[in-house]
Amino acid sequence: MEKQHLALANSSTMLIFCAIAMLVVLMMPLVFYRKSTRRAKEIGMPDEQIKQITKVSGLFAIIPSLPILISYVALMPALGQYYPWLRLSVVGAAGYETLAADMAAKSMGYETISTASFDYSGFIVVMLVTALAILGGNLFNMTILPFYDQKVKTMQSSGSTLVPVITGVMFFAMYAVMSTPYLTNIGNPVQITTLLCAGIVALVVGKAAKSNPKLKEWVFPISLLCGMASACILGPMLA
Amino acid sequence: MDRLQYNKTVNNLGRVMVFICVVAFMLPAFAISAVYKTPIDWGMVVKAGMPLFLTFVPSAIAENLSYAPILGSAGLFVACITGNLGNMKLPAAMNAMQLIDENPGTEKADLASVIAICSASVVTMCITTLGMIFLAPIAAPLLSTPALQPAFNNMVPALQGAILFPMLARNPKGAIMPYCLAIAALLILGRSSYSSNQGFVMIGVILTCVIVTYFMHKNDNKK
Repeated sequence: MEKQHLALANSSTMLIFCAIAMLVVLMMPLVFYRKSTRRAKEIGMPDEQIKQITKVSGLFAIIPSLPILISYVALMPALGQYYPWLRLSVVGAAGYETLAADMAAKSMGYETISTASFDYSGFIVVMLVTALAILGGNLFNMTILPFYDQKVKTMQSSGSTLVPVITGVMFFAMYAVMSTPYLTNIGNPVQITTLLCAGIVALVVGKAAKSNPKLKEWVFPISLLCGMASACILGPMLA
Repeated sequence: MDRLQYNKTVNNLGRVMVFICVVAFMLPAFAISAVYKTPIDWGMVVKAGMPLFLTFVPSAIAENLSYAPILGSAGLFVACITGNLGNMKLPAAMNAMQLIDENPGTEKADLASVIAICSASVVTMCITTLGMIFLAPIAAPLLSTPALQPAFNNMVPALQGAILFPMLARNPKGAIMPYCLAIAALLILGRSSYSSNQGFVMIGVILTCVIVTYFMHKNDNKK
């Protein structure tokens, strides 16, 4: 049976509003890109470096975007063609969207988001819940971040030798917290081998890039792909 | 314009743009409600949204406190609005900093970070739009092939390895304390509790490392 809300979710009205929202949000990276490249030139960053960062980051974004497409396809039967497109392109993340939509469906008495057939009011609730629940980071940015950042930058501008040391430690602390569950997951050794493989390739290609500077911008994408390829090769063996 | 002044301008611009974007992505729900003359069931929104809001807000704030000194405020403004922060924007920014041999926190590193995040955001938006228009039906079966699943299931560890190892090679000693603390937290909390409270673990580990480093640095200077 056709889900009630899909007529609304796949309507041209929905497409128009989602497209407007996407266009408004697209302005943000464009405005900030313009502003930051101007500033970069002001402080003497060479054009070549700016172009290199732009190219490498754009290329890099292709691979992590592919799982977003898979999530889009997975959400489409439940939420229609247009709303998941907006959600997965703006603020959202693949894991969060499915979870949030599913929790909203459950609180309205449905078993899962996949089987739910909402009336229009129910679908609007799902739209609002998925959008509102993830606002925490942005609320922080609008209210506290400027003050917090000002403090951090004042410290950084003081020229203290301590600041770069602290920032370096913060980086390691952040990555230690994020990578420890993977590095210690003996129950799923593919995660360990993938991380190690990508890391070792990064070191090897990074070393090769010292004698061949053109290779430098490819260190990261090559390591990422090698890590992922190792998961495909070793996954079935280690499972 | 000096760095602090520039930063002030960026912060003001960021706040205004975040507000506009938040209004824009709430727009479809309100517009649909108005066009189809369907009132919003606020009671249900609160009932369904509150547990999610309470779950995600504290960890989002904790994460942003940790990311801000690394990504810079401009990078964080854009990354939070365009999403996929940990699995795409953070690695893209770190890679850009490595590319120009800058450590997080310098002005050049901040600029590299925001340029990288903006470029990655635009590319992702283009890919999802192409996917929405015609790629999804063709790409989905290919990307869902069982043989390729381990690759996508393990993309995050691959990303982390690619970013982490070059930094480790530059400063292996710097990683000892953070890893000891993170492993201790994992052992104390257990894997599942660690994952669901990762934002708070991050704040705890960062604060401890910063305090210890501060006192060690002070003692070294005295000597």
